This record gives sequence, C-alpha cells and structure tokens, in this order.
Amino acid sequence: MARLTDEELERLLRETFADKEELLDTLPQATTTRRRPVAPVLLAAAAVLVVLGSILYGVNRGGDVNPAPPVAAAPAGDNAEIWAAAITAVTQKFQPEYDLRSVDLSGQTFVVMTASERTSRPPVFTVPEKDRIADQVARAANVQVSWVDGSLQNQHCIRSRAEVSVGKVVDKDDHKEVRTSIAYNCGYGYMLTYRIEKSGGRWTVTGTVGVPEGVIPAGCPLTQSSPANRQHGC
Amino acid sequence: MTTSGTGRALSFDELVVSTERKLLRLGLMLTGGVHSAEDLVQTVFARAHRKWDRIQALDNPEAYLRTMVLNEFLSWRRVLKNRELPVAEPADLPSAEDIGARQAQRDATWQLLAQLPRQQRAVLVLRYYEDLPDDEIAAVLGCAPATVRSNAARGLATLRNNLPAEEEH
Repeated sequence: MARLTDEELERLLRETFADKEELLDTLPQATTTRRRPVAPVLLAAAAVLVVLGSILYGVNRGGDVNPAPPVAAAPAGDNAEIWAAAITAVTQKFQPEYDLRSVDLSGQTFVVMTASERTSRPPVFTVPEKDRIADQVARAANVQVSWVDGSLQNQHCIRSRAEVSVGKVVDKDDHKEVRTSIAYNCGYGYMLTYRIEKSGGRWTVTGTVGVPEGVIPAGCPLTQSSPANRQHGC
Repeated sequence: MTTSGTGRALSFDELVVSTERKLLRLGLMLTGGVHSAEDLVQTVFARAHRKWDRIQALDNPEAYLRTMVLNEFLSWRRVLKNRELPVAEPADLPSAEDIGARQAQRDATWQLLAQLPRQQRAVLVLRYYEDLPDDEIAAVLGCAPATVRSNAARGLATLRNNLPAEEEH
C-alpha cells in the first residue's frame, strides 16, 4: 500500500478542514445585526420623566406630608444585571449541545474562602436581585430558572438541567469580573471567570479571564466522540 | 477603515458581527474544538475592544484580528501545556463507527493535527484552510518564509507517516 503523495495529502487536509467546519453549526450566533427598537427607549425616557416629576412634586409639598417609611425593597442594582450576564453566558455555552431547558441557581454567591473570609458568611442575593436575575436569564437564554438555597446538589440527575453558581462581582475599574461555575450533564463541571463591561447602558460579557477549568465524572474518558456515540453516563 | 460606500467609521460591534464566524472557524481549525475556539475568539474580542481606537484606524482590522487569534492560540496553548489543566470539553474526535474510508481518513487527519506542535498546525491551517501563500504566512507568524516551509514539511511528514494510504481500487 503506497504512502500518500504531497498532492493527496494536501487534498485530504483541505477536505478535513472543510468537513470539520460544520462543527460550528452547534454554536448559536452570538451577535445579530437587528436594529434596536425605538419604542422601549421612548418608554424608558417617559418613565424617567414620570419619576422625576413625582420627586419634584414631593419636594415642593415640603412639610405638608408626613414622611412614611419606604415600602418597596431596595432596587436590584447593577450587580444583578452583571450576575445575570454571566449566568446567561455560561448557560448558552452548553445549551445547544445538552439541550438545557432549566437552570438552578444557588441562593448564595460562592467564594473561594480565605482565612479571613471563613469568619463571615458568603453574601446572599436579595429578593429584588433574585427576581431580576431570574427574569433576565429566563428571557435571554430561554430557560426555566429556579433559585435553590444552600448547596446545589441535586439528588436526581436530569440531563437538560444545569446548576449554576456565581461569585462576587469584582470591580476592575474599567470592567467587572465574575467567577462562574456550571454543573451539567449529570456530573460534568466547568469553571471560568467572565469579563463584563458596560456597553450602550447594558452589562455585556466581553470575554473570559484566565484559563477555564473543568471536571468530568470518574470513569469517563478524557476525549470522546460525537454526543450520539458517548459512553453511557459520560 | 470605513463601512463600504458610506464613508462612516466602522464600529466595534460591526466588526464583531462581520468577522465573528470567520474567526471562530479559524479558531476551530487551530484548537480542534468548538468551545476552545469560542474561548479563543472571545478573548481576542475582549482585547480588541480595549484597544479599539488603534485597531479602528488600521486599513484592515479583520486581518489584525486574525493575527491576534493566531498569537493568542500560540501563547494560549503554551499556557495550557504548562499548567496541565484538564478542561471538561468534549474533544471533537472521530468515532469508531465511521464507516466511510474517506471519512475515517479525514477523522484520522483531524486527530493527528491535534497532536502536531502548534507552529506546524498553524502553518498547515493558514496554508490549506486560509489558502495563504508562504510569504504571507511568514508575515502573519513573524518568522522567515523558510521557517514556514520547514514547519509545513515537518507537519506533512508526520501526517504522511501516520496516515493509512488510500485503498487502491
């Protein structure tokens, strides 16, 4: 049996590259060219005017009114949007391949505990933050979102469900960073840090920081074939 | 650079939209995995965003991003190799159930490409996927054309020595 000639080898390489291009079809389009609708902007502007008007009205009434304690909870703030961006990004990363339809979120931010931190409890999300994160992730990733207090260890393995935790929002002056982890496909794990920046008034994931880390269930091969051919449980 | 015909400066968003899939394809050929390619391109876009003022003024920002992807790949693989961190990413390797001989040969080639030194793999990708001439590859990789030719020859030799020949009919 003769060895491949240069010409055969070149043709084989071109065919191989062309053949493997289709692997990218599993990825969703990360960016789209659609125009932003004007109506929400006008609505937001109108809402700001209403709020400002209400404040001015309240100030002008001066001592005529008795101050009442605030009823509404504190607003969710930017951190909720930053966390939601990280959770959405990590969910969408694995959603096409594993058909993720629901995501469980930990009620506490997870931290790598240092000696000084062990004495204090990890931060807990406020109710407005939870609501805003769940709403944003559900809309952006089209998944069902549930909050789970305490440990994220499901007794029942459902392949279309993932468990996501996020760390504290770390301020890096010109951007924020959030450590994010996801448990998916009944035992797989993936951890990475997202770089998140404010662009056009919205917090958006613009990249990753450092090298992602991952875990696979014991007994599974490090390299595998296509999803259809995977070893059972891996 | 301006958007075609309008005379308007290209925005970062527009550049991302127009180059993303192309860079992802290049990233896939270099890294051998979809998720690795995605991480690679995301990292490059983040870096490009930080120095957008300079990139925007270039004649060909797309070519600059391609070079960034290559450089990121070359340094990134070095980091991975040094740290030996396992990544829970299913590698896109051939299955044992492929029955077509030609398909099996392509899969074997893909697998062998992943084992080549990164410089050799980059040269083969630029030559046979991007169809760049050797002097342009040399300019992109910052080396001499002779180095490109020797890397290509070594890569091809490794593939030839490890690939089964085509069946004669």
